[in-house]
Amino acid sequence: MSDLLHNTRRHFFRDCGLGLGSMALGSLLAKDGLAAPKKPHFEPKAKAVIFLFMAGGPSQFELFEPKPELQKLHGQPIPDSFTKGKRFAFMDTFSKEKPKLLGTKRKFAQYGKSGTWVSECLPHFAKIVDDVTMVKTVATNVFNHGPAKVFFNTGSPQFGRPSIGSWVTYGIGSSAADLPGFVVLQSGPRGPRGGVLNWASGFLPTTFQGVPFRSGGDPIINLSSPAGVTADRQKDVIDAVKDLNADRLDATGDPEIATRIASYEMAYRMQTSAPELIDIGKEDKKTLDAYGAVAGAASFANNCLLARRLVERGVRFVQLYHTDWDHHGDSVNNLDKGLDKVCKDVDQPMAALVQDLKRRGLLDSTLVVWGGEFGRTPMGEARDTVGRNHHIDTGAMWFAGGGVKAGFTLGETDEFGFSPTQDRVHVHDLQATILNQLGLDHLKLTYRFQGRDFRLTDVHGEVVKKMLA
Amino acid sequence: MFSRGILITLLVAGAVTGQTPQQSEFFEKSVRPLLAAHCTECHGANEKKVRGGLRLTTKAEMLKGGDTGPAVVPGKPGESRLIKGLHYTDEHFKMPPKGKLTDADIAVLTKWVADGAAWPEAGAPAERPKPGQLFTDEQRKFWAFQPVADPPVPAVKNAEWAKNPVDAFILSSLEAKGLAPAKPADRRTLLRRVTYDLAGLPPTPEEIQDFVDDNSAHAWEHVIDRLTRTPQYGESQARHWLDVARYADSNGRDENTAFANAFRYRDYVVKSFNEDKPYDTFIKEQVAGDLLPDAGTNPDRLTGTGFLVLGPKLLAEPDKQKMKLDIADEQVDTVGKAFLGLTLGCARCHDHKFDPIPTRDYYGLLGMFTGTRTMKNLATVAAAHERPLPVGDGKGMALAVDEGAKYGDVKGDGKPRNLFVQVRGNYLTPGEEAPAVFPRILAGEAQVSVGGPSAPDAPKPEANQTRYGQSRPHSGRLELATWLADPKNPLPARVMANRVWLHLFGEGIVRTPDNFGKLGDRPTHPELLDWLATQFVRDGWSVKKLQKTILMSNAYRMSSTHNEAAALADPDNKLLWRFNRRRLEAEKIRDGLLSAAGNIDLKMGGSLLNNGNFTYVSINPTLDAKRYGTARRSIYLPVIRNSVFDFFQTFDMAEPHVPTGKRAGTVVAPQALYMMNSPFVKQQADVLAAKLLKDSPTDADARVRDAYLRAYGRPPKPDELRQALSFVSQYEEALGTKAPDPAKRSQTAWAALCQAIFAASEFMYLN
Repeated sequence: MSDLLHNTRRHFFRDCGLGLGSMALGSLLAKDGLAAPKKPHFEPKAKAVIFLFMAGGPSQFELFEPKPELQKLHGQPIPDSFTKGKRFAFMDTFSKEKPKLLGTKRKFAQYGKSGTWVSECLPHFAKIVDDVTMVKTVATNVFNHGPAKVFFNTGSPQFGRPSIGSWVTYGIGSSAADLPGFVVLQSGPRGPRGGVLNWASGFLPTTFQGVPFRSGGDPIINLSSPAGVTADRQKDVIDAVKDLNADRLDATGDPEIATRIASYEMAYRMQTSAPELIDIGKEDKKTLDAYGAVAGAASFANNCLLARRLVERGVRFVQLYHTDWDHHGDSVNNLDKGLDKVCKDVDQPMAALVQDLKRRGLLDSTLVVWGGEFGRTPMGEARDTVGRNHHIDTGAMWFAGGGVKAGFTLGETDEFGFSPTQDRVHVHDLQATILNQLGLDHLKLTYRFQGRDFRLTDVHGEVVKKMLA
Repeated sequence: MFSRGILITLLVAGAVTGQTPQQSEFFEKSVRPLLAAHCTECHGANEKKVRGGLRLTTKAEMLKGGDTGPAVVPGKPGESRLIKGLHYTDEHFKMPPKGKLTDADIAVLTKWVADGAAWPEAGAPAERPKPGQLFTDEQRKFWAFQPVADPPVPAVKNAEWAKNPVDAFILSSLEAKGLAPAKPADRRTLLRRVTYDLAGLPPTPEEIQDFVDDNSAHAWEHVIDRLTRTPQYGESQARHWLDVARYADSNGRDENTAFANAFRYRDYVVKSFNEDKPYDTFIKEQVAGDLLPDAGTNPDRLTGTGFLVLGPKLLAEPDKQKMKLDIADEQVDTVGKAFLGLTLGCARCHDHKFDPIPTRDYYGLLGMFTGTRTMKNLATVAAAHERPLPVGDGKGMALAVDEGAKYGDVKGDGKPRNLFVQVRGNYLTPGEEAPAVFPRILAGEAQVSVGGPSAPDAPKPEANQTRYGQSRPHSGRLELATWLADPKNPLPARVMANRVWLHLFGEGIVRTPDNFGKLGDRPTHPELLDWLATQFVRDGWSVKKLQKTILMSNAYRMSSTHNEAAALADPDNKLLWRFNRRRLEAEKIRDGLLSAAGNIDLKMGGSLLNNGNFTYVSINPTLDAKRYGTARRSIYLPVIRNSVFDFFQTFDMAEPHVPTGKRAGTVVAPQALYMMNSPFVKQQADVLAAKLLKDSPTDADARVRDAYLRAYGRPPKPDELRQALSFVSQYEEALGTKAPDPAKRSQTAWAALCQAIFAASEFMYLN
């Protein structure tokens, strides 16, 4: 910390006798990541999370969940006992005619020592199954994309709650002094539904908000000095700003001004550290090829590599969004070419990420999460091509590293894969589990807002102990 | 699933029976966390695992106890098994088994039991309503539901300071605590403060000089009058209201389609503030302008109802009945927060947990909006309703509502009808019929339902359909608007007076401007709030007059200087012993930069949204440059939900999906990056530097003076002048041979100084 800040701090403690006291100033400085990481509730298994969010809701039936009964009864109407009293998105396509069971066209095989089922869509993933916990029974509450994503991220479909990455950085800070603690990377044809709400800090201070990096151009907006301004000249300007602010600080005794001084320090350090961070050209060719990353391109592959580099530098929570998995069965978004494309986008990079983390000894301390906002129905839709509807009762996700079991499958569903029959896991349970791996008790991680203590898991959630090593 | 989740929690400090607030607070702060952390995992939180038959999640369970009897004997820690176990003295009974608690924790629990083991029950009413009554006495007596009083102006010791009644109220509470108000701010600080507050811009060097030189007794009053007459006044005030109205130029949520005509509502709000439209009229226009007698000739009437149409909606909602209800719900919620400061939406699934709003009252209101046409259709993707304005060629369309419920493919005859209470917010589980009345805690339990005489023609209930009751000739919106604008309604005048105060002082008298309910803050100066509300109505609901009353006080003219003793007594400055230093809002920073650089385009009105109406909003750098790369005032830049302009996002603009009465004012690194590196800030610095060099070709001192005046509203102090000059010369020197052209070198160095001046705190703060 610079002398200026040091003096500022002392000035407040000794000279100002501000009622706010040391804690307030400490937290203000912490806002810009200057404070040391905070102690978790208990000894953590993981130090960081990489959350690969498959926006749109991938179909478990084409990827992880072979159902012989579904194949056998393909084209038959689903028995009423399954659908009675259930509500679905896009009901109109279900109401034209009774929904029919849809067998998959994809071939499945068992892989690894664990014998995990994977379809032909994900040949690279098939190689890492022994590092993975597959959960086949993830249930959620909400079946529209935007609210369902917001629900997964914030524990509530209502807007205005903090996202999981914000809760984590609020809870344990970040050990990256030169980078934000919570970073968001995006790829695919468009941004995820719900946009900034998915990584907003809600009622937590905005410093805990996810900072979206861009994969092409500047990773952070306005990160580069303006063209023609050298680092020295810019330092001159920043020093001048600091002097001006320090004068104000003396005149006003306002701790916010100290924070603003600190924010310039952080911004200047980010300017130095972030360009190096995103320069994936520095990686050896073997690594680039393993991910399928190409320097300068905008891709999920580049983002996976960037995620590893962020975690290496102490960033706490990295969330990658890849669109679009919403395969209803129109001319583009279908389970034929549509699914092929998106699988090709993600399969190799996500497998490479897990392998790369493992090779570097980072997998034990990094929890990788893969999944979408909900699963899809065993029934097809009466549309132009092959597709499935949104389904909140069950879907599949996988986890790797960070203290979860390796080569393990949790949960069983009925013969059609419509509902969990064993080990149903709710979104709130997964939120509790992710926090748990970071050393945070979801019951204790609270924030008082408008007279009420809020939690990520609202009044629900239980750590899924069965999936933990 | 319904978007409004269950709002109950075990953690709420609820109403209390037989215990003092201190006891409740002690329980919530110190005891409950210990129970939750160490006890309930095995005693109650998990149904599958209750050890020893003991549950510790309510007081009743604790007193009932487990297999070995009651866990606690209130008042007697020595006889309470819960306490005994903590001490680890009995080899067979150690609690919690995982490890002994710290002495401090044991002391907390022991004190709690000794004091009677107070346990406030979450959300439980403190008392039951008397037979035949809907609400308890405590609910009826809640401050916000009392009629607005016209309190006498209090006597104060320092009568000289009390320039007007506002001062008397402020001073009397300061004096009661032995505090004194801060010294008056100097004229330059004041002028900068009031110019930003009223016009949203910095004062020009000429305006500063005029005010500093004006020795007349009315100098200050003249400044206020001048500013409230500028067109920029309406633009600046409108922005606050647009936050409350969750204004945006696109739908947001899942289907982010453009509202190409939303700008007419925005321009209407600007016009209304500039005309000083009486606030009661402003309410009526927004809630029921289409039903006012001159709606066919006065375009404000229809345009105002854009307020109801602008909300974010799930435009591809497959369940059309739910879609219709959701849209009306969003309207009820916004109307409640904006005009009443009540979170009415909480009563959709259950009686409001904290405020006396039964679900029946919610559905009574909801029926007024389901009987209103808000959408063109309910197709996938649905479009909002628009109506031609009665001006010009009749081609001007505005987002506006209509009476009538028949549109889209929702069944029904289009007559406005009562809804039934929907149990747990689900239309498939109807409860009792909800007549169209206003919230009964405010409007009384004996109300005649609105919308004209009811006809007992309820359609036969159909399976899987929303259940409707009696019909009526009108939706009831007009009566609702009239009731909201009635001075006898205790909330609207208070809520608006509080908003006006908030934007002048940085904090409201009620610090939760959109929640005057139980979970909101209590007023710091209840009598002052009532006095202001009364004065507001007495002055014909004139916002300008209300502002002038406040601005003429000494309270507004205090300096923001720190005072150690006062800060210790009142760290949050709730009593207003000084003026609150405030960070400028996003729009004021941007407009301030443009204005200080002499670069601002003050053209009013119109739309910069380059997107077909109701088509998906496209977002790419070229379109963004057209939308935002302008020198127009910030209020005219399109507000695109899910993709708010990055400058505004960086500086905490209100999230435009929801009504926001008070914005955050954060200080984070991305703001510094913006000021350091954004081409926009650099451009303004370049423009200002060129102007300084042109205006004072030979006098470097004059350049620094002018820059300080434009950015900070004051001249530099001698050492600041010296520092600035030495910065420029060192910078030029450092550029050296890299910039051989001396004119260019000079421009670069002065631009660097200007940027440092813009980037410093003083530019972004109001003192």
